[in-house]
Amino acid sequence: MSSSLTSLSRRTILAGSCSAIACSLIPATAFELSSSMKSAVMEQFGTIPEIDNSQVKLSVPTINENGNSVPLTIDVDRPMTQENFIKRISLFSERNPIPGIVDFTLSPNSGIARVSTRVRLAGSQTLMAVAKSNNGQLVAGTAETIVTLAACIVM
Amino acid sequence: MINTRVSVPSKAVKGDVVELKALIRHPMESGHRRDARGEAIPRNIIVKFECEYNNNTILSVDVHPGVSANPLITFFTVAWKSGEVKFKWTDQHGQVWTDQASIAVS
Repeated sequence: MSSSLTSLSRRTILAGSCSAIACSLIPATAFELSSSMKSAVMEQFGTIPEIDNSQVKLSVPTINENGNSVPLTIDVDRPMTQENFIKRISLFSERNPIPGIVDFTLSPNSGIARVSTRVRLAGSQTLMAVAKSNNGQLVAGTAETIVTLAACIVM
Repeated sequence: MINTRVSVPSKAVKGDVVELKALIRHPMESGHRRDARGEAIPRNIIVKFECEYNNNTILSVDVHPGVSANPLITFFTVAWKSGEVKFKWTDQHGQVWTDQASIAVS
């Protein structure tokens, strides 16, 4: 009687602790930006901008078979006038050896603040695009993407 | 072999926002890879891309090793005057490649 009680309680404790670990892990990976990405953003812009995915749309395929060439588009929903325009758009990676991937410097003659290119990604991660207007306002957008075969590993 | 391809609409209505594309054939060797003998392959990348339209800079891009081989950049400009659109790529050794196309604005 006593032995069955102890085994039952041990099982309950094990199951409970496992689910607790799983619960604590999921939000950490889904919502926390990596420190290498944060420090790269801090170095370039001096602060971590507010994330507003409705203003900075980072379009990237949900699943990529190959991290060597991932097409992406950064679209900043702001008017481009001579007085007020998006001057800089930078893209950052969480897991690449160098977090800064590419920096675009736009002009008011660009018409719309939208740029596209193809990038290398070292694994599944969250990408962050930071847009800076000519009067210093910062806004950022993020997107998550899954990479089945990471760049740098494949030859 | 390195060569470039650009896409500029030949005609546009004044005030239209037109799409421009620029492609260069380049290995963009990141410097993170190793060859069959385990030796690091030296970095060899394009570091800068610039586009000028009637001597106004439309876009300038700082390119890092995270950009794929054969970098393709798509961007936009307002068509306001007929003229030349000039594209310029610079690699880390200072070598420059250029391309250009003309646009007729009515």
